[in-house]
Order: sequence, then structure tokens, then C-alpha cells
Amino acid sequence: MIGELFQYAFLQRALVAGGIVGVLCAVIGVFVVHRNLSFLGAGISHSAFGGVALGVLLGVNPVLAAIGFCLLVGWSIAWVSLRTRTGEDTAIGIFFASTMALGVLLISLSRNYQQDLFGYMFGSILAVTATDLWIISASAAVVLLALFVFGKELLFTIFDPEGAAVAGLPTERLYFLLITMITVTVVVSIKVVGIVLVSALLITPAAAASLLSRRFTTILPLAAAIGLGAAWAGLALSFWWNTPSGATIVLLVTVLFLLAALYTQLRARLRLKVRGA
Amino acid sequence: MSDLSPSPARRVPGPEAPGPSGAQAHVAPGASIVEVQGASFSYGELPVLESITLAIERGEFLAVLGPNGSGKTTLLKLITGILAPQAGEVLVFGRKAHELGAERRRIGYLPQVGTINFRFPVTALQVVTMGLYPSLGPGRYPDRAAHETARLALARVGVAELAPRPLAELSGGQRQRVLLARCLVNGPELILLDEPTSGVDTASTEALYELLRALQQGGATLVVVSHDIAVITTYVNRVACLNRRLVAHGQPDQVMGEAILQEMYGCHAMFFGHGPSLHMIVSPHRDR
Repeated sequence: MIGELFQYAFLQRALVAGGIVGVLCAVIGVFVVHRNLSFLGAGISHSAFGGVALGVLLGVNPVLAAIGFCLLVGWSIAWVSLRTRTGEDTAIGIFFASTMALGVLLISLSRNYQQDLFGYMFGSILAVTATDLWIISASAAVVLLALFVFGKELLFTIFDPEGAAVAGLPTERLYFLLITMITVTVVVSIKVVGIVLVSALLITPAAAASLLSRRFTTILPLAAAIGLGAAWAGLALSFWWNTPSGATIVLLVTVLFLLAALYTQLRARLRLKVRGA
Repeated sequence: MSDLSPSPARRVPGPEAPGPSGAQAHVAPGASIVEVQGASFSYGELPVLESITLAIERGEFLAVLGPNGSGKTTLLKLITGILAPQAGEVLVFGRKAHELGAERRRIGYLPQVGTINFRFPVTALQVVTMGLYPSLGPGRYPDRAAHETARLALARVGVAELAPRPLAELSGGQRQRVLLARCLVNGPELILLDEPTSGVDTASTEALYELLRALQQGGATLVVVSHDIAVITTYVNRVACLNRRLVAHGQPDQVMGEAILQEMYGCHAMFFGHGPSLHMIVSPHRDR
């Protein structure tokens, strides 16, 4: 039964793309969750709608167009929240809706948009092309390399921004770097789970792992394992049950989160009982 | 407002700050480690500090006191270099504070607790090790020696056993000690603490100040922003009273007069001696 999964080239590509995206989203998601940037994931992914529409209209690769477009949006959000009195969540809210509106406007100008855009909205992992796979792999490599180089600096900045600044870390540049990494991660993932669902893949594995451990060094690999497991298991289930892959992956990862929450509750109660005995 | 308007701030004379006991190569003995010269700062149109002039000499233990919104934290941020003054200058180690590069490592800083994410999933040891990150540089991760240095810093503040514990599980007093250990991990010459005892019980507060006194005796210069007027004045050797302007600056017993407190807090306040420490009585403003 499992052997079937590896018979077709499109399924092989889907497994590779799903695996990369599952791990990448989960790892970046740990920073997103602990920097309270969960709303940014949803904001950036929805603004990708404008980027994809722009790409379709101009005849450019939609994912590449969306990366460029969303980077501008992400940096604008960062700039507005750093330089004006507008809060981060308000800035995200403004760009979230306005870029969606731009997307709607742009597709109304295009004639052959419908079948293309549905895939981007809800993911079409089984339609991942060799080019898509290259874009996903290269982007993931760059993001994970940046994470390795600046990971501990990002950690310090997220934990204690003032302390990090006094220690001499360039906190503003690190914030822009984090926004850049989140943006690239979200945009390359939309082919797999779609604009509407990608923030779940970003947040849920990190949230589940954070329930299971209070150590960053444990949370990071744990989140990656949950992301990878959910992506592969979700793909397999969607293949056997003939269900949409993005939605199956997201529902599966949510089940894992609920199990983690249940487990931690039971563990806490058990400890209380042992102490009381 | 009070009719008292001493400008410039009253500098109450006192004996010289204790001489340096350790070798501090960068600043000559007796020289100011921090010089604030006519510094002003405002957030937008709201002035927070006006024409502050203040010198902090090496080996001094200075308390910055003042009511909420008096600019205490902003003054500390100017000294750390996080903020740059809009007028005047703030010099640290003889250089503009906001232009300090690697020399920032000579500053130890304990931020206000509200700015720190205490639910963050890190252990006490990891928190202390963060203090070493800037000297490690990008792409390099702490090795055994770095962890050993961090453990020594934890031991120095008396909480070596907390090293493997997640920060979220620690009490307020324990967290402050862990952050103090991070503040000390590079062996700083200048230690800046923003309300180090907020959320800390009385016994731990006194223990913390004893620790700070020991650091001062070891040759460090300390600046503490605090609300614990009654406790802190028994430990420090200088007090700066702030209320947007520098109201007074000098030895605790000479500065803490009724007139200055009234100007600083806008209410009737006085100190009285009782045992080893001072107590403050505050009552509503007489004019109202």
C-alpha cells in the first residue's frame, strides 16, 4: 500500500515538497509562535493572493512573483510597526486586506484565472512541478542557512529585545531578517497547503511542541518532526482517501496539537495526584 | 507644581566615591565613566527628560529615583545607548553612548521585567549564555567553555543549582538573579539595572542589594533605577532625584530632604530613620 506512494513521479515530488515545507514551516513557526507573530503568517499568506494574481496577469512564475510581492508587504509591515505608532497587528490587518483586494482587482483584469487560483487558495500538492520543487528546495536551503547563522541572535532578540540591543545586537535588522524568513517560508508553502491554510502549518506544530517541552532546543526538532510527520501522513491519507491534500495535512496537524494538549493536561493531573498521595 | 525650582540640580557635596579596587584599564581613576551633558529626550511631542547634566564616577553606586513617568528608564536607556538624546550628549567610557560598538560588552544591563518574555522556553543557563552571544558572533554556538562561564556567573549570584531549570518555572526573585547573572557574565565595568526588585519579596530584595553592594566593592560602577526608596538609600552612595529634570543629586541622607521629595513626587513626603534603614511617609499634596 505504501509502495504505491512511490510509484508516480508527481507523488514523489509531492512527498519531497511536503516534507521540506512541513519541516521549514515548523522550524520557522517556533520563532513565529514565541515572538507572538502568529497573525503575520496569516497576513503574509493572504497577501500572496495579490502576488500570485500579479504573476498570472504578467505571465511570470506566480510563486516567484508572490515572493517578491510578499517581501515588500512584510517589510512594509515591519517598517510601519517600527517607525509609526501603528501596532504590528494593526499593520498586518491593513496589508492583509488591502493586498487581497489588489489580488481581486488584478484577477478581474485577467481572463483565464479561475483554475490557476483555486490551487493557490487551497493548495495543490499533487500538481507540484519540477520548477516548484526547485523553488521550494532553494528557498528552504537559504532560510535554514540564515537560521543557522543568526539563530541564536534571533533567539536573544525575541526573548529580550532591550537586553539584546544593549548587548550590541542589531535588533531592527534581525527583526527584518525574521520577517523575511517568515515571508519566504509562507510563500513557498502555499503550493502545498494553500493561501488559506498555510498559517496552520506554520503555527500548529510549533504550538504542539511548545506544549510538550519548555526547552527551545527540544521544541525545535520536535516541531520539525511533527511538521514532517503531519505532511507525509496527511499526503498518504489524502492519496488513499482521495481527499484534498492541504486540508488533510492541516486537519491532521490539528489533531496532533489537540493530542499534545490532552497529554499535557493528563500529565499535570497525574503529577498533582502523585504529589497529593 | 512645587514652587521649588532648583536649576541646575542641587549637587550635594560628599566624600569622593570609593577608589577603584580592581584594575580598570580603560578609564582613569576618578574619571567619570558616564557623563550626561544637558541631555534632553522626548517621545514625539512629550518631553521626558529636560537638560539633564550628571556625571557618574567610577566605583559609584547611584540610585535614580523618581515617580512614574519621571524619565528614570529613559535616562537609563540613554546611558545604554538604546536611545540617543535629541539635545546634549551622553558619554560612556568617553564615547557617545549610542555609538558604542563592541565596547557595549563593558556594560551589563538588567531590563525592566515587563520587556522580557518570561514564558519563553529557555533554561536559566541558556539565558545567562545569551550574554555571551555578541562576542561569539554569527554562526558560532556556545561551547563547553561558554557554558562554564555562564555557570560561574550563576554561582556568583548564588543560584548555580537553577542552571537546567526552565525560566518559566522560576520565582520572581530567582528570575531576577538569573538575569543579573547574565548581566555579569562578561565582567562589566558599568552595571545598569532597571527596577531589579520589581516582583521580588522583601527578603530577596535585601539579598539582591547586598549582592550589588559586593559588586561595587569589587570595583564595578552601578546605576539602579528603583522605587524602593526606603531600602535602596541604605545601600547606595549617591542618589539622583528625577522628575523630568534632575531635581537633586548627592548623598542619600543629604538629598532625601522633604523639600526635594515634595518637588519630586508632588506630594508631602518625608523620611525618618528607624534602625538601619530609612522609611518614607507619603501623604496627599497639601495644596489640594
